[in-house]
Amino acid sequence: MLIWLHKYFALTRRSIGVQLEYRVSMVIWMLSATFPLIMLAVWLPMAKDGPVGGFTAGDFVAYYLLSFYMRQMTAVWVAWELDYDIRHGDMNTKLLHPIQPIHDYISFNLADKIMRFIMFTPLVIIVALVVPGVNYVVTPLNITFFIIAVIGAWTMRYFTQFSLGLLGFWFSQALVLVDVFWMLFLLFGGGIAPIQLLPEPLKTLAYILPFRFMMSFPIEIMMGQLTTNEILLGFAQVAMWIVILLGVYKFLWTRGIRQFSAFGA
Amino acid sequence: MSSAPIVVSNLKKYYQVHDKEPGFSGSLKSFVNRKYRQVKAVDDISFEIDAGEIVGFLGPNGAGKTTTLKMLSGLLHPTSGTARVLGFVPQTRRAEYLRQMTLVMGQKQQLTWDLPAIETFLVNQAIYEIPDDQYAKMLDELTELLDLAPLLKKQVRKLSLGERMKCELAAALLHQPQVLFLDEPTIGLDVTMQTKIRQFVGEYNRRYNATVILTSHYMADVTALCKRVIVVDHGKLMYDGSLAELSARIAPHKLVRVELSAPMNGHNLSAYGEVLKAKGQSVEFLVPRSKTSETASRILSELPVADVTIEDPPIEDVIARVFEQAALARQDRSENDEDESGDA
Repeated sequence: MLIWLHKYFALTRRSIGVQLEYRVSMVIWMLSATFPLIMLAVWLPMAKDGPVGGFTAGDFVAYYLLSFYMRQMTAVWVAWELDYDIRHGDMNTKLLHPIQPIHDYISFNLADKIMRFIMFTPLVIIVALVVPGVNYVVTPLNITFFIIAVIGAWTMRYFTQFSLGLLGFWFSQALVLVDVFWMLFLLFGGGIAPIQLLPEPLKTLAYILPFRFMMSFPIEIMMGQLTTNEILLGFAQVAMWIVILLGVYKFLWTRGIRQFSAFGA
Repeated sequence: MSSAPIVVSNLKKYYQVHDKEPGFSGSLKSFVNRKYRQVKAVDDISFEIDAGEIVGFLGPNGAGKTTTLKMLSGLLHPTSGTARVLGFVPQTRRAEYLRQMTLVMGQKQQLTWDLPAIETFLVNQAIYEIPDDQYAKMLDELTELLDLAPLLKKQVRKLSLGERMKCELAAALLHQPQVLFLDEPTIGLDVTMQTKIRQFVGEYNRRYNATVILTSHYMADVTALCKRVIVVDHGKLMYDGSLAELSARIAPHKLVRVELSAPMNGHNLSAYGEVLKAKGQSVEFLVPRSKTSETASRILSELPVADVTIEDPPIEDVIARVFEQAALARQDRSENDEDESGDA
């Protein structure tokens, strides 16, 4: 365990170093995630004359503020890294190390998350305090629930995209699937509109599909829309999805590497 | 079973590749009716390498050298046959194995491009689980042997090619591997740097009794480091033995250079051997090995000699001859065998 902490510490330290080399592009890239703000601008005028589907203007601000935060804290781009490494043979260099390459990839994302956490957490807190009508349930227990749900959301997004990226071992255009995934994620995860406001049958679907847990679920927790039982049930579902996604990752990785080493790069 | 650290038997790596004719119609044809052909990148190679040996792996581009090294380092699964390195089956990529070997490719790098090399070293220390004292000791040694001191804190992207290669080697050796696969470690480097890298590999081999397989296009690397060479061509093993014997077998001649003290008029120079060059007062003969001393004494007594030297022909020429002979043999074979061989 300790040795793993040590390895992750070393990898992540290196990754933060790389990120700091590109600090300007990093900040621009982070701030370019303005989609939630655009969606907020769409909803606000509609909520001016009264709540829309139970959402007041303040609720919309609260929702899209956290939507923005969720996008930051669960940002994943590993499919592009995998695509590059598979096609350019950089995967070989990673395979020579006595550590599974996924840890190397995760360390880069972890470094990014540390930077974003430092940058955006104070920002979100300040906006939440300043803008009237933004109400979150700020109890230690609820914040703990929120943090667990965010980590769950990140894990689900990361392993989904990692597995999609691994398809690059077989198809040179696996990245198209990442775009398809992204559309579904925006629609059923609550990126376009809160899923409570989706028309049927999309709404029912959104509660069945896994995308809700990648964005909407933690927001629902912070906005006090869920009972403790609903939250715990949600965690059980997240755990189930993570087990499934880990299984898919293991399956694709083992076969992908066999494929890769059969045909070479 | 042999106790040699590297044991390769009947190793084969065949690829299915498809050819595409140029242009849109070619793309269409390749989409509808894809024609595959088999490329035998490595075709039934066997050898053993003992602990502490440095073996030169020679062959033209596409001979199967890199493919073999990739199989030995676990990056490629063999089509058939087996390889065992330090008792491990490489392609299972066991961490215990990866911690004892290294593969350095002159054309690929592991150093993090945007950071100083020392950062990669620290990451490697952690993932190879190198204890602090051993890391410090090894880093000191490598710094001394490779003159790394002024380089360690410079961003890798600001290093010259040669400086980067030195750091690559250090990164690859921090964990004190017992087996080194070096795939053209001197490619693109100037002569001084080539010499340095070469001396370093020799020194590492002596200090740690490491087993080394080295590929290079620079014969100087091979002649300086390797007593034994393995020659491959089109995936087949052409020769495995000492470098001296290879010269003797393939080039059964010695090169005799004579500086004359007076211009030659009317002498029949070809009586002494095949005249390669006769320009002014200097002459070069190719003389059969068995007759070298006899011919030399005749030259000394019959010609006005100022200076005479006897050498082996350059190893480049010897190797070139091996490949020429191999190509001829292949032509003979291909008349009753339609199999294709090619790049790998």
